[in-house]
Amino acid sequence: MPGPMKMRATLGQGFTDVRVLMTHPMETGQRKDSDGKLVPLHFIQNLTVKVNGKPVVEAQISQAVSRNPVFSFRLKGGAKGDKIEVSWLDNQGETNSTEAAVA
Amino acid sequence: MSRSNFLAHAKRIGLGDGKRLFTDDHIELTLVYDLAVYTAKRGQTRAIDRYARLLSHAAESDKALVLAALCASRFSLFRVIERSELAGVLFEDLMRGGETWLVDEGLEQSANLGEIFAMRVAPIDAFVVTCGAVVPIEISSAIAGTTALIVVIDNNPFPLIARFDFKEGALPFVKVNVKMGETSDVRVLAEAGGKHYVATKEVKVTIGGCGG
Repeated sequence: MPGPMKMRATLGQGFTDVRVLMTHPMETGQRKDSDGKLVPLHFIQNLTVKVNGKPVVEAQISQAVSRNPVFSFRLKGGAKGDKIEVSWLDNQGETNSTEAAVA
Repeated sequence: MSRSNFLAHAKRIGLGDGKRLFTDDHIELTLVYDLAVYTAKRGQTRAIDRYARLLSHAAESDKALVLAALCASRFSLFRVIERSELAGVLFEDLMRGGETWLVDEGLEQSANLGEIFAMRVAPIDAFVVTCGAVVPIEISSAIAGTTALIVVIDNNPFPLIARFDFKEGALPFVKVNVKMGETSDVRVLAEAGGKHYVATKEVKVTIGGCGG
């Protein structure tokens, strides 16, 4: 089961600052567990940022991004109450998303 | 931090004569910086505390959390006891006693049982961190019409780190932490109007040492 996500969207000077934390092991497929067995590759592949339902950032990321990654994005303009939605899909087909209103 | 203060710290550990530095090795210089930032003569304030007083981050923000952790950080000798099932490594503090749970992906992969490290660790919640192998990367493009940013780290096992496509409504800016096992050039490609632009910067990594 995918872990929780946390997001904060705040108005900056002329832009909206979006920070989002994703709980994910981001396994590289190279790490061994305590029994010496390789831990299978497990990482977020795609992530999408939407504002009021419209996609503004689409990213493809690799297993080199750190565990439980935190991303910061900046959106043009923005207003209080705009709905920001961030979702991800990993290589094992798991997916998760979170929503927040710009504060 | 004054130049004379920095040189005095270098002299204390034999890397200078009080007027000149005897080294340009970045690991040795890191030790001098550590002393200069985190220690002070009796009756004087530490540079890290002066820095913390100058800044007023919002309470409970990540920056405030990290700054508080750095102010409370300690330098010691640590011996690896075991690798934690969850994440990180358990260390015994050889100078102060007690066990410490250190979360650091570089050390988690490279540390062997019984090995001893001298390092500075900073407490965050129930665990401590070093500043080694996870490197924050912030990229932005000032090129008009940038539609994508691509990050490549030459010496990583997976050099292609990420590709971000920015559509109408987003600024070409992103910040993310990546794993870096060793010092490498980090390249960022920007796509704008069908053309590609590249910027390169070397990022130094000191596994299990503070300040990379």
